[in-house]
Amino acid sequence: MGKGFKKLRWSRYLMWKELKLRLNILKNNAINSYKVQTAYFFENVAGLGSTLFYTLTQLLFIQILYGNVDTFAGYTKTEMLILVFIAQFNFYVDWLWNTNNLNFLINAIREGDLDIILSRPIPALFFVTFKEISIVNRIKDSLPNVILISLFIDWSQIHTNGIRIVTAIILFILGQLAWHGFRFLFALPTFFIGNARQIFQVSGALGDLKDIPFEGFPDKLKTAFTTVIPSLIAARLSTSVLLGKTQPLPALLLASTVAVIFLILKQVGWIIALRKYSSASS
Amino acid sequence: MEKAVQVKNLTKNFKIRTNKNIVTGIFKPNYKHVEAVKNISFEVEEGESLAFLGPNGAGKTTTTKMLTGLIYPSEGEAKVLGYTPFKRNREFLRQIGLVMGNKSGLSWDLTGQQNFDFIKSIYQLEDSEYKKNLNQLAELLDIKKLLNKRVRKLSLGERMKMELIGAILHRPKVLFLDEPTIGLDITSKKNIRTFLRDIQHNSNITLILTSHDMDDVEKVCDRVIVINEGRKVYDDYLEKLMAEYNQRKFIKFYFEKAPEKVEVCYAEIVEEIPEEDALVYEVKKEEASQLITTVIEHTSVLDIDIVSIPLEEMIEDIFKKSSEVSTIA
Repeated sequence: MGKGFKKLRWSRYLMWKELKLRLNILKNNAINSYKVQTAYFFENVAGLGSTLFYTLTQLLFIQILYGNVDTFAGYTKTEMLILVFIAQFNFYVDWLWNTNNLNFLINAIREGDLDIILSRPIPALFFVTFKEISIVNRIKDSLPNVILISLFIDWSQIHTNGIRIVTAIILFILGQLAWHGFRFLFALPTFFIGNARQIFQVSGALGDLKDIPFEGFPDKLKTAFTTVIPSLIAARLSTSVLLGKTQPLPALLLASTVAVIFLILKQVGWIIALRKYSSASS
Repeated sequence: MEKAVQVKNLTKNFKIRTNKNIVTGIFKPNYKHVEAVKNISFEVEEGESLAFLGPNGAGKTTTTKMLTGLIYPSEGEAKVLGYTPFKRNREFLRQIGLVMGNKSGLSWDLTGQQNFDFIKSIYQLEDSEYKKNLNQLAELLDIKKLLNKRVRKLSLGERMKMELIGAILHRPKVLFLDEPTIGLDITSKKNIRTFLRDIQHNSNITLILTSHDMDDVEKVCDRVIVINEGRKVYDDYLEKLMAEYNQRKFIKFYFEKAPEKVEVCYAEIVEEIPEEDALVYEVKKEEASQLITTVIEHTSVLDIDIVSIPLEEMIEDIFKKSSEVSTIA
């Protein structure tokens, strides 16, 4: 009994140490990213300008579209704006997490910086997964856009409930996890062929599904884009559940299975890649 | 004495695609196997300081990378501090340090202090231990006043000092150094070599150095392993190597006017330099004084230089001999 209790306390202590280390990695990476972001003021202003312009063209497109039709793929103008709102948020999370970190990983492999990471007693995969945390930049870029879209939404027209909202949030998170695992696999060829920048960009293009609602896709594409290429889950499937167009439970089951599979594939891919790593630096 | 490193028949092969054609390369890639390291075996005692020497592509960096767990060997065994490096056990990684002259282990947009704070949390150092170590190392390398400056703003020499601190703040038992003085000025090189020698002596750290700079090797290491074409071709103490090669001396005589050649059976004139009115003799170490006396007696000598064979030439000679052997084989 006493021994078992001591063992439990020890394993809890180790878990706490591991958690503390990971939090420290996140903190340091966030500080580092912040310093880099604030060092290049004009670059940041330009980034904000381009995303703002993109949002305006999206809103213009919706205005023109709904000037001619009442519904598009079963979505009213308000519902479409909700989709754009969530899709835009999804885009910024993808940029914050995947684009920045996976590009960092590709460069680190190519330039040999991964050597230093691998030589330290840290969870290397966790470190590279969260190396770039440009939260300030992404908030700065996303907030004006998301606020702008929300101003166009007639919130009184939305009929949903608590369960759907919570499910949509969980779906959004699961969709991000699945999408991250998927995109990670496109960065891994760098280990084997020395460069995967273009291959990685293909994964980005596969997620660029414009503002087509979930219901707008034929069934076969729905299946493909929620399983093999999990790009519909985070924004489109979650919006569909939020708006009561898809049942929450099957969506949750599908999203959790896909997320788990892609996270396992990520882990396995990483282990295989490290075995093949030849290290670029000399 | 305990063994810090044990390597047995270590081999690393790389598979390289030879058909890089955009179309045919997909269907028929064709690969060739390159043996970067061939069947190398050696041991390193705790507290020893060892240099890997060899021309570019000889396999020395690949060997270091296998020992730090960065790459997997194709065959053979390696143990560092009793651990198999490529398993990348955290306990093992906590006990080694790696400095790469051409790579930075620090975040350039943070200050040295912020970087070291992060390293403290990675290695889970106690507050008091961390402060003591940092204070000591910063004083030794004379960079205390630079700790709050962004790494990006530091000179190359100052940055390398920070890199060194970052690599040994946790007091590793084995420190791997890959070209630690590359690109540095003479003063910085000297400071870093002295520092490495000091910590090796005082803290009993095992040093494993890879460098093309023979001064690094001479000032920092006790033992050298020469690698050529993936094979170990020499492994012994530096002192012994020097003694072996310094059995012969080069003596340069400067004369008042045109050199007068004094022929002796035990020495050979290896170079004649008319523009300096000088002659260079090669002679056995124990016969050097006899040669000097003879030449002075018979000619009007202005000055004498006694030159030992530089380490660089010794190593070059080992390369040549090993290449000749492998060609014959």
